[in-house]
Amino acid sequence: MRDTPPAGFVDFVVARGSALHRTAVLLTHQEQSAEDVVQIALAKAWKSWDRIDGNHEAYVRQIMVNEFASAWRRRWRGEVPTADLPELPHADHGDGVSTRPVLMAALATLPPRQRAVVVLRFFHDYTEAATAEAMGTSVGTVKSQTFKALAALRVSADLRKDLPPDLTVSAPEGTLR
Amino acid sequence: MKPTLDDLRVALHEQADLAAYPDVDALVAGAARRVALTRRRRLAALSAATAAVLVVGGLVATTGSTHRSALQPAEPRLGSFSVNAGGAGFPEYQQGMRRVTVLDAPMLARMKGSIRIPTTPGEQLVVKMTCTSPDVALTTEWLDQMIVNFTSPGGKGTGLCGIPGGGAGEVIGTATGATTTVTADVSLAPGSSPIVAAPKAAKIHAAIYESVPWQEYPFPPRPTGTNTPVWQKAPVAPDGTVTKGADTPVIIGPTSAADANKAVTMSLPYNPKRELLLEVRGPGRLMVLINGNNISDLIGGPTPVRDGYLTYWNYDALGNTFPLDPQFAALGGAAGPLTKPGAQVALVIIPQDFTGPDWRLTYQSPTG
Repeated sequence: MRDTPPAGFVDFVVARGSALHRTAVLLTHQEQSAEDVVQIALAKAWKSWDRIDGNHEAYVRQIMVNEFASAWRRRWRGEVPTADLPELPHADHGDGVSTRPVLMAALATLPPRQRAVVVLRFFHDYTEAATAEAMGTSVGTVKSQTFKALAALRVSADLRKDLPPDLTVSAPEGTLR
Repeated sequence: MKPTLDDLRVALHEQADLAAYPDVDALVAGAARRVALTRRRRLAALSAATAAVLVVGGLVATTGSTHRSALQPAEPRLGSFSVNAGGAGFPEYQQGMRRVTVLDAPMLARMKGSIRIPTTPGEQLVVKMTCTSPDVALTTEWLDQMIVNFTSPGGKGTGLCGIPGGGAGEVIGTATGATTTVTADVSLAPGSSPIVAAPKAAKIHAAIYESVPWQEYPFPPRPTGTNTPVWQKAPVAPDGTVTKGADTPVIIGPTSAADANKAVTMSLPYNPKRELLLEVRGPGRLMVLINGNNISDLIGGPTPVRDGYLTYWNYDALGNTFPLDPQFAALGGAAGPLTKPGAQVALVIIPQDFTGPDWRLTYQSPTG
């Protein structure tokens, strides 16, 4: 294992470090934790840098997402009490009221894997298949996690219509707040 | 009106834009430091293993005997469990459970210990865990990787550091006697390889809780100003229903303490574009039946269903959505053919022990 960064590593961090950090902030909701997640992923990528075939950013992002999500898999319940039931304000259609604070607060209450799915699907615009590959899971799991996450965020269900109807039946245990 | 996916995308990008620009040098330096630490650990492990082999070889060669206890590789930073009489910030009563004991242990200690605790036969045992450090904030890396495997005669479960306040906890089994021995095995999460040392003073705090029968639980006092149904957005009849049109939500719920525990039976037309939203903001128990099937367990609450009832133990507001689909109930949540739109579905809500108008069920269009 080398002491100096592999060829192209520093250039990559200079060019894409900010983008990776943005993803990490959405996952962790904390600047310090975000930096930790990025550093951990970079350290792991460092070791296999020369063997990475193709998109280094996607590779590092995949490590980040799995680092973030893996330790929470055995969580018993996802419920987090809230002071008030989340009544989301209207979207900002020129009335100056942004949905961002409420949506981000709701996002922070999601289980990590659902949060990761939301970030990959709707921030990075990954397809379901790409999301599944990045998270090392099946497309069906991505669909069900997406459904649960959007239900919890109370995003319009009309926009979930591309999901197969059986998913509305097979996703009973989520905390859909 | 609910946010759309476009709203979500915009919100995510806005939030990401708010993030501070990272220090690239710090990212590279941090990665380099972690790589170097990994290498040093591997070298140290290799050196220790090599030395042990040499020592063993030498002893066998010179004495022909073995002293296994002396030859075991030293466990790094061995520690021991201690009982935290102060409770480490875990509430004495929480979500239908009573705190039995709290164990402390140093982080990074690879160890296994057991404790005999007083229990009530048949009650569920749950563990909640946090990790703290008096000096510095523990990194996500450590919080995510530090685990304790708990084993009781009635089962086993794993505690994690990374859930604020221990979350809802992890069920580790059911008490089988007046005392129960719980074994705690501290380790790192499978597959993880920590590359940053935890602070020396960092500690694990594991609280073992026991479920308390509903009738014996000390509920918190009712907050002032909660005697009116605060969620009411439309006139609600005592029997609960309001229907003004096809798109108007149907709202079912009590309007006063007097009708808080009255069962509601009604028939609703199945609409795959609508969902049920159950909201609860006070202690009480609820059973929900669809076409005669108790679906409470499928809905899920803050704690496991007891005796067929969803149970709520405090005045935190919680909500769950679920479909008004008999197949959902009949098949236990498994995928199945959907009910024909328009078919009448029998819905029954059986509330118990509510002390005010603290629950509401809404049949609504998700966009409504």
